[in-house]
Amino acid sequence: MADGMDSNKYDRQLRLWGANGQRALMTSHILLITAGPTGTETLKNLVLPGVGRFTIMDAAKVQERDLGNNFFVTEEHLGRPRAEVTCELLLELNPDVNGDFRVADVASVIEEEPQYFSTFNLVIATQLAAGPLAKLAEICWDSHTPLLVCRSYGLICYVRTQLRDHCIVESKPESDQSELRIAAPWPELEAHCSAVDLAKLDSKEHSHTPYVVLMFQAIAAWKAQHGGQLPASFEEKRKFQQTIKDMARDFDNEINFQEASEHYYKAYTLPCVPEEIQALLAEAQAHDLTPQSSSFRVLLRALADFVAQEGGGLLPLPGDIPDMTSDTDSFVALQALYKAKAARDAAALATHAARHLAALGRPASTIAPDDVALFAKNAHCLLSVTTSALKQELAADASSSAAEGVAEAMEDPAELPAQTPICWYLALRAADRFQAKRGRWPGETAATIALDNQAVWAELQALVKELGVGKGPLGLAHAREVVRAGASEVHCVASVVGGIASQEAVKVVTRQYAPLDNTAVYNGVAGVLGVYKL
Amino acid sequence: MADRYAHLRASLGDELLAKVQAAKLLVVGAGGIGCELLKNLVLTGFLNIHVVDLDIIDVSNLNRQFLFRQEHVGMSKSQVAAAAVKVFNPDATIVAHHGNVKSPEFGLNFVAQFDLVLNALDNVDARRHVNRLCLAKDKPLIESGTTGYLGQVTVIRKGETECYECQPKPTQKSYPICTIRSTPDKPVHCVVWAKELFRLLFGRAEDSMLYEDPAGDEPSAYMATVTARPEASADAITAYAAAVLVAQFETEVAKRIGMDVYKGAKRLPEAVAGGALRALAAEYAQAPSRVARKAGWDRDVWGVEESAREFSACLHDVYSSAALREHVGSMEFDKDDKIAMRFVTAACNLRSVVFHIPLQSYHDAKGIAGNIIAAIATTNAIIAGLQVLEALKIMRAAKPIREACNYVWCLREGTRKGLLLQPTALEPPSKGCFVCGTRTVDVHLDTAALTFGEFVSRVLKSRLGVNEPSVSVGSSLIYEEGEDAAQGLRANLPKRLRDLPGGGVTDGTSLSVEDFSQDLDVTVCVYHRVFDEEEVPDGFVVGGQMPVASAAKPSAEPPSAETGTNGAPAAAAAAAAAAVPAAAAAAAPTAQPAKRGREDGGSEEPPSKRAAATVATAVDTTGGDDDDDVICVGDD
Ligand SMILES: [Zn+2]
Repeated sequence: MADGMDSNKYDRQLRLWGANGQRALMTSHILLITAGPTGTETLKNLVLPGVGRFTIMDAAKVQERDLGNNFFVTEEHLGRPRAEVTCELLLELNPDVNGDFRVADVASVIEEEPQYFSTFNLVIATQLAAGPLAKLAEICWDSHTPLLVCRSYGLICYVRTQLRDHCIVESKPESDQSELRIAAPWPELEAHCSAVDLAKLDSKEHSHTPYVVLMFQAIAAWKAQHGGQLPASFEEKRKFQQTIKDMARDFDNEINFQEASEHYYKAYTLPCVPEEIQALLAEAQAHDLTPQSSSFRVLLRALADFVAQEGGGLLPLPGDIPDMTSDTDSFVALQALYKAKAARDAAALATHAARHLAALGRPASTIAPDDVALFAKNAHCLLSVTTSALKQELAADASSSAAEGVAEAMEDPAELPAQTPICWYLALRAADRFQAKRGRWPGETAATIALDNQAVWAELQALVKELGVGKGPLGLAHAREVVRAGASEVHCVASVVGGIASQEAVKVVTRQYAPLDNTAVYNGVAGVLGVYKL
Repeated sequence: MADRYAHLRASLGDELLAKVQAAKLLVVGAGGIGCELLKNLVLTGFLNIHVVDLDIIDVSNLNRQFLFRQEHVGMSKSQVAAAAVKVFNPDATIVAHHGNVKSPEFGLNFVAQFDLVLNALDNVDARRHVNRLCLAKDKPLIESGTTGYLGQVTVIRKGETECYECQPKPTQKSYPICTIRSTPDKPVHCVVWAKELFRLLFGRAEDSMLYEDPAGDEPSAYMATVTARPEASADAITAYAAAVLVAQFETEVAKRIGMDVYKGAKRLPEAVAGGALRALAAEYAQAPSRVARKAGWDRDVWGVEESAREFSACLHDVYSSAALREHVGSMEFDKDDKIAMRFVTAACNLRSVVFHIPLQSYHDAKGIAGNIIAAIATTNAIIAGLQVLEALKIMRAAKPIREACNYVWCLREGTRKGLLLQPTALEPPSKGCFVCGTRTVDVHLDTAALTFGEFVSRVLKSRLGVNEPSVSVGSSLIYEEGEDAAQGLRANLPKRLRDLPGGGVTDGTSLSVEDFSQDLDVTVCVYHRVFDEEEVPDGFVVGGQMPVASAAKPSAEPPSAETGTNGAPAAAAAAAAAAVPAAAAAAAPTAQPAKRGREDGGSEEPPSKRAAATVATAVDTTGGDDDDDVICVGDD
């Protein structure tokens, strides 16, 4: 655990993302753009669990209208820079967190210091107009800086991730991850399992032999009788299961044999490298490492070497075995065998990694042994996530990466088609186009509401035409709602966006779980949230 | 337009904003969700809010209950929270009540003054009570709960929707005494045992499940060892530690093996060698807690040596301190007390070694011992935001609530269609519900064994959530509680049900149970039945259901099929059935009300209703299958 980590204060969340996750969170530096309620609510949920450091960028001064929806400004702050005030109050939430602010217009920072943004582990852009957002997204894309875009607009919420080669070691899949390798044993396992002479055991020993040994012997016997072949057809597999049962002296009272019979398929299932991991390895081999390569890339390259050499086509052994009926000594011996193999594999991986690091002129200590071991243990569920670039999504024709996702979503609408979140995504983009052309949001002036309705509706129609999709359930009502809301930020909506966005932020900086790919839209009127790949 | 209500006026419109500003709300709970909720309500324009909470602020609340600071630790949650949000709108009136929502001052008359009630609670018991108050006074109730990345929001309205109790509540899990004492097979069993050993050594020994009457027929040898409390000298304490270790982990184990308790067992337990234990007891100076701690020490798993040394070190800590010594005989287990938790971890691991059960780190043992449910700020924020959006729908009130509102789930990774928030229609009231429907409930129990007192505390209060029961058989009142209750009737409490006045309660007897504080009136039909203690440790079964699977009815769990990422609804449902008790965890009523509040402090578990799928995934995220077991033994 990182030094200074207060395990009592963070007890509840540590149970969710563990010490590794907490350490990653505590060493992250996050940039928040715009300190309105959407931004501050998102940041609040990261300050509370102990993010390392944040920077708030905002050019605005606190106004009367901020008092009604922003929890991090009060009346006494009127007229002061919003970045400064919210930074101050957010820091009060958690003394472990460092924070600073920059009173600056994001558009000019984008123009003048594009390199500034790549110094952060994550950029959270909230309530940013389409123009500067597109430029920011491009900068982040080019520098591989994770970007989270959030907005709340009336009763509509929107969260978008832009990630490039975002690597995740602990993806924490829900299925069982243990691997026994009975069908492809390494020499020590083979020696251990074949050394047991079942016939010579007394009845207590016989009924306390772990099922790994039983299955190993059963499959060895099968192969001997079937020209070295494993059971392949359904019929053969059934027969194999029966041979396990027949090995028991008293099947009804020998739980270890019952367990072996239950898990019989593990005896002939050959371990393999999952397709997704093969793709990652192929890519790792296709690209040379550079001095800037991340630890993940170096380890991935080392993993490819491992699979080709020591692994004999297999990934490192995860090393955990499930509980099984056994006497203590046999179980502990078996457990030690798997652990030792896992440790050997991790050490081999470390050697490959050290060689690559040396070639890059970096010391082997760049990657801690614990991190190599964690990587080896999770080798079968590594993830590298690349979302579409925002630039691709915003392309003004059918080449837009959004075209397919929008078309799909329109064909499969929600229960109330007009409330399908994709409609609100399109309506927000129509409002953005309006804003880009006129320099103001629709509905901001009461006198032009009717005109704004028509203008937004026209933008909406033009947008779907560009994307090459039909109008579906879209109508003037969507334009009207966007105009009526007039880009207002309601606090409870900001709270929902802030909750969703901070959840994704935690996933991104801790590199745990698969993050949102890539857009979530919530319609607060009907209470429906949609996730789309745009 | 540039005033504090500018954003609201634009989004909600003048008409809805006026309704919002006129409404009077009650928020029950000022914990993780409660803090978010109060902030959201005030900043969404609500001006008149009362908040009730009985808790005081604990340091473990600070990472998500953002209205509280270090300097507030020890103060009333409701009062600090009310003062903190009041700052954000000088027009608002926030009234804080520091107290238990189940106490009479917050009864029917109190609830009658509100337009809407929002629950931000962390236990089933209080949720049931508020549910009944709202039904009685016909107030809409917005219910909420979270577990880790998951959570849900639902709306309850008398006659229109299901009430909180329409679906049978999963009940707390009890372990048969014999599993704990003789045949443990899960880490949780060893943790329970270790807590009982703590009570035997440091607490009210006669309340411990391991206690044996020294004057009884065949008292175990360990009773004499345990009660021979040592002098304060280091040697005496070491000798005592050695004797207790040997008695518990060698002699007692060997004795039970000799009694053939484990015939046909999966694996025989193995006693720890007494010689080794004696040597280790003397090495208490090298216990994990005494050597220089490195970061992450609480994740280390102590083996036999470390556990035995730690066990001895804990005894040294207690007996060499005059202040602690004085409390031997009256200590209560508290997961936040370091000595208690070190002791329980050490004892649990020694016990686990004997029974070949996986060992636990201090951190994991604490999770099991304290029924700790993961809670994070992000989910609380989402759920409280959704609650206010539901409140706005109710205020808008163009349609009946059942049509206007939804039951919303918040999921970790989204459903098959990628929905992270999944709304489903609200169900109509269940006809068979004993609270809002038939007002009849069947109870199967042994009328010759159970006393009326046990019936009142365990069946009526704990299981059925009755607050102040008055019980009649036919026309004669046999029991009542409350201010003017007839004390003479208490004489009925020690009687067996069968021996009650008026012919007794036997197979087929109907009892009329009333609770004026909840405006509840229920007929309890008793059926005589004798249960096997292993199968039904509680000794009674409520309703037609058998004890094993009391998960939600099939129609009530549509999202579960979509929760699993690999499309395995069956597995999800199975996990759900196993996991459901988690929801009731913090709800387990105990004999220590003072501690209760503290344990409930931060675990905002969801209402158990339809919690199946959500909780199942939550359990996956925490990785262990034991966190979900509720620890409660006998009458605990
Ligand atoms: Zn009901």
